[in-house]
Amino acid sequence: MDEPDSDVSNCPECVEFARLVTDYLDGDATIEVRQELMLHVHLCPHCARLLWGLERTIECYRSESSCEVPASARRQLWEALMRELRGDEQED
Amino acid sequence: MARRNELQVAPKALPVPDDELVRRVQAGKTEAFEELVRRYERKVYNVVYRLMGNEQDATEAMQDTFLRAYRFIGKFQFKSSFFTWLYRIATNTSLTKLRQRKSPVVMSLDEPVGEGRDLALEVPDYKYNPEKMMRQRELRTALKDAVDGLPPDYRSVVVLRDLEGLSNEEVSKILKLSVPAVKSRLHRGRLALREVLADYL
Repeated sequence: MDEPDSDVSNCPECVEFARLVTDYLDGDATIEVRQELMLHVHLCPHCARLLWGLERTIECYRSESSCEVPASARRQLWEALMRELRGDEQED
Repeated sequence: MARRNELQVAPKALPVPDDELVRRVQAGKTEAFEELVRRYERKVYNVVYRLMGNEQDATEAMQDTFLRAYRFIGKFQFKSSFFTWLYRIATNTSLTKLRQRKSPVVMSLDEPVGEGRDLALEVPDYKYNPEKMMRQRELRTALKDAVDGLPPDYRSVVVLRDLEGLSNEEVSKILKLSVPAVKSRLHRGRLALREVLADYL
């Protein structure tokens, strides 16, 4: 994890691309930055692959729907909670 | 039909705001805490499940989160939203448990995804396409393994930001990190996930 960007080339434009790509993906990049990044992507197949892979990765896990609380987990939670709350009421 | 329309426009009671419920709990009304639990149990469960990686630990972490929240709610000063405060407790509880864990949990590929999880799977497009359905299932397993394989500091950011959909600012408040630090961990986490998921993309 120390060098997760090791697959990014050392070319200054690519380093700059890697620095700004999170803002781009999250819609936080300015129009100028977006244009700059898009221009770079058209010229650099390496960064184009990186961007495509990141977009697909995010799309993939964002499409995961949230899960329901399992019945057993909910039961345990409420049992513990009721013990705690009743304990408080008895002290009062 | 007219009767149905009448029913549709019937005024609906607005939910009591979180802060008001917190004030009621602080005043000794324990039933207000029950309402807060009902409101957030699913969100909390999803965060802790994604951080802990299995149902048993998630059940324990969810329980600890709400019990700690109840014990400390008297000290809640409304400097943040209740939701941010609760997420912070859930994240810290899970991260503490993860750090205490001696060895990583190894999930069997044959293990069922978990009670309740299949209910949440919404893949109607693949209903009549077993191949795509199987691939989607494989992808879910790979995704879960990939997230579980991230170091806790990266995992917490990816889970809160990308899976729970919180903003960078909210994540920074929950984890007590600067926004640039959140972005940096998010970027590294996403890169690591992309690498693991490369075969499925």
